[in-house]
Amino acid sequence: MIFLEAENQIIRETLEKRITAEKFELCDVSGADFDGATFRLVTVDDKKSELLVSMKLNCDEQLKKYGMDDVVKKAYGSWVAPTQEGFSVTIKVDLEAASLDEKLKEEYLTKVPLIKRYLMMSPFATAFDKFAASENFEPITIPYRPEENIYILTFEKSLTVMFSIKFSDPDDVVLARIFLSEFKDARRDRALGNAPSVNFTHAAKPLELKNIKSSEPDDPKGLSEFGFVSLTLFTSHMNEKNREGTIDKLLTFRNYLHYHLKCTKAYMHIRMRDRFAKLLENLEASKDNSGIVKERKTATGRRFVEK
Amino acid sequence: MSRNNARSNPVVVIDNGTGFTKMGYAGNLEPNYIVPTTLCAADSKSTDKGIEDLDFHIGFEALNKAVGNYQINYPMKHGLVDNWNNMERYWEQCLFKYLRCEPEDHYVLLTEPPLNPPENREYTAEIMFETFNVSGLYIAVQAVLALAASWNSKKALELKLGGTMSGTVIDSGDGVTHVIPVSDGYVIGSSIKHIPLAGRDITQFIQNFVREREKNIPPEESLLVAQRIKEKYCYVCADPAKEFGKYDQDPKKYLKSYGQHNKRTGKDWKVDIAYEQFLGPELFFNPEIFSPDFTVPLPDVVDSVIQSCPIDARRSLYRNIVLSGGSTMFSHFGRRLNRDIKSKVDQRLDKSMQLSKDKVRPKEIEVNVITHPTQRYAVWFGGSMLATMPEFFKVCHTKAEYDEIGPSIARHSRIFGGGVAN
Amino acid sequence: MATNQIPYIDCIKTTLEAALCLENFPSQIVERHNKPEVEAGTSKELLLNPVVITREKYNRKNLDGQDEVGFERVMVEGSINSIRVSISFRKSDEAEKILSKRYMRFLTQRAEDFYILRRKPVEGYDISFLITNFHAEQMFKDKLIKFILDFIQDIDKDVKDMKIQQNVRARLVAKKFLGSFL
Repeated sequence: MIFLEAENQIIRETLEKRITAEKFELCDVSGADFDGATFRLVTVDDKKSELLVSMKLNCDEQLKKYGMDDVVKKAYGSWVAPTQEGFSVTIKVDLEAASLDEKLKEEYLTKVPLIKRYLMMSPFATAFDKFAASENFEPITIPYRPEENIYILTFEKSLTVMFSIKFSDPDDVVLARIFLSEFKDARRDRALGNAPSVNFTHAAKPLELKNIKSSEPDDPKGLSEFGFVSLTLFTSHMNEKNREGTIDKLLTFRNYLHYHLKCTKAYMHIRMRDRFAKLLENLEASKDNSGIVKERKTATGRRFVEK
Repeated sequence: MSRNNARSNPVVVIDNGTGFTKMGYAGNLEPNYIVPTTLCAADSKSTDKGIEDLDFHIGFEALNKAVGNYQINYPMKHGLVDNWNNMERYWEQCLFKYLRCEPEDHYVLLTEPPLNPPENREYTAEIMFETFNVSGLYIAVQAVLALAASWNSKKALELKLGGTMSGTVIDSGDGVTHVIPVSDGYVIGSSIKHIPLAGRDITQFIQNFVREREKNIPPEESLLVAQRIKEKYCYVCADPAKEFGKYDQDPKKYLKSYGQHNKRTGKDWKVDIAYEQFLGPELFFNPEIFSPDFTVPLPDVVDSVIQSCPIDARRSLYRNIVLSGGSTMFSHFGRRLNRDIKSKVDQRLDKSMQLSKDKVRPKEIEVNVITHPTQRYAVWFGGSMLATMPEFFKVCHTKAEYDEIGPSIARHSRIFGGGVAN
Repeated sequence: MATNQIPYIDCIKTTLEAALCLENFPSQIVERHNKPEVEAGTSKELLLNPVVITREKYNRKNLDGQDEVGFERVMVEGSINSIRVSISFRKSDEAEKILSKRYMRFLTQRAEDFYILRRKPVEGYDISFLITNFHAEQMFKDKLIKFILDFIQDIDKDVKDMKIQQNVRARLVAKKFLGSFL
């Protein structure tokens, strides 16, 4: 598996199980998604045929400013329910109707698991639209994780999305540098000429962020744990056809990077285990077993086996 | 620091068994996923060299994609990890694809079988902390979690057994059945007994039975059919001899039929299910009908396990016999087991009364078999409960400790003291 | 084996051949104990002079841009019943540094299976072996020496290979990721 998926598997499977179940039962499933998002699926009414799917994001305050509620309404229409306490949005799924109508069921199963994307889509949509209309806009900051942010800004006539990423393990920083320097160089390949261009700095705030109030520390020691990745997008990435795909990849970018760092470390482990087995084999081979007599006999004929 | 906010995120609970892995977030009543512990990796070099280790699937997907140059692999054997490379990759996909969590932001609870060598705990800690950078790890003994899961069952609440850390756990999964005595939270390792009979064997028994009688089942599906029959129709009877009689007297009431549509030939086929409904689970109580290698019935094994424990622990072990695992889900399993064990115990007490010519009257031993609705994944549920308690974070091994001291912190569990001076 | 490494390896080989003359020697301090004298280090007459074979001194830039000095060397400490071989690998950049650190941590974690390995490296080195007279009796001397030399070269090669693999992986992942935007 190379790419992380955009939809939430748990939500999707729980929905599928409940819609196709023989009878409606009480349901209360909670879980977490990337970036500290938590969600809950719960039945509240007596018939247990209505399932409320809620999700909470930590940055919902900022997202509301960019029109999160409108985007959610546009995507889910009449399914939006009054938000449950402690959550950012609630969607109502009518299990009974879905179990009878195949098309409705498919719609539920495709759209509801993407709830996180719709929640976080609004700043990107706003930025893309304004950029397409050649309007200038204030840099957008989305504090999607406790110490990390996504910045959307225009810089020298191009739209840049910048991520500040915290690496809690210093080894990760070294691996990430190798990774991201390859991302930077990948554009040299002609086939990827239309791909976004990637830039990476470590332990130094990039120029673009000079005038923006940001939560990352300013001192060099604190900053040594942070890396800044910026992707510069072209209009082809922001048009109607590619928009959702682009946003999906941007939203999961940080997790994608960390996922690959961890897979790299796992791969190193595989190599190390192989090497260890070979070394052990060599060591055993250099043993001198000639002195050890496997089986001895006494004069009366009794046998001893030496282990 | 992301370490501190890891405490506000739900704990990830993963219970890896030989046959199935149960995983999900703590606080739920049942696991979010119950998938087979299988991994299917591309064998040949057909994928891009350099990232060929990422080309694999786990769980049900692995079973579906096992064609061509994809080989199926079972990383766990007899409850212990056999292939660490595959186990590491398995966990990779569990965490990132299914549970969709960034391990740095969460604490993780894993389980281990009884008699797990301490080196295995160290290797697990090494993988979790070094590769995945989890914030904290706790490796729990499966038997203790199964005990904890039974506390909220109706019977346990009646008998006021909630919160007790002593009991005998009968854990019967797909591969093997364990009988594990636990006293005050410590597993009495030398008394553990394994019975090589479990879900897989019952399925095979039913498969043999049905195959002999019915010819129109498509052969590639016979195992699957046997499994479905086992899960849907099997039950434990009170007395097999009488049950045979009941079936012969009134076949219409007891004979069931199971039908399916054969996709290949396009025809529907049906099988009749008769004696295997009760003979399947009867394997536990009369193993000689399946295999001549193992002939000790389950109640006898449980009794001998408890008898081999220190004498002061025995009453509490009899009082709280807990069932866990999918193969204990047959209806009336608990009742039959309870009856058989009690009769053995009573026999012994009567014998001692006889020998002492009625001068010594031993106090009656209470035998309770506790069943509860979350038996199938009792271990996972116990873990989920444990992980929601505030004391959980205190007993976990944290990443800071790992960086400071090393994997040897995983050798000892903080609940039971010992180990590092912390 | 790189041609410029041959004198280095040869030098280590002759040193080990000289040092690996071990005999059983019960402890002089505690009755009925048998300790590896190079570890106990109590009696001066039982210890040989440690020999350090340095291949080269190199400079490396670390993450902050500062210069660091590293040595690629082997130290052989001998005694009457045991020798300690400590190895410091070439780590010409940050990536190699963390790779070899992880690698050595991985191996020392399994030191029990690998009986001649020491769980903690000697101060200033990456990894250490402790070979006692009992090990030397069990094994052929020349094979043991060959094992250590192969070890040094294999680990060097592995670290370099892993570094290259990182780059290859990163390139493939980047290509796939960026390609998916189109």
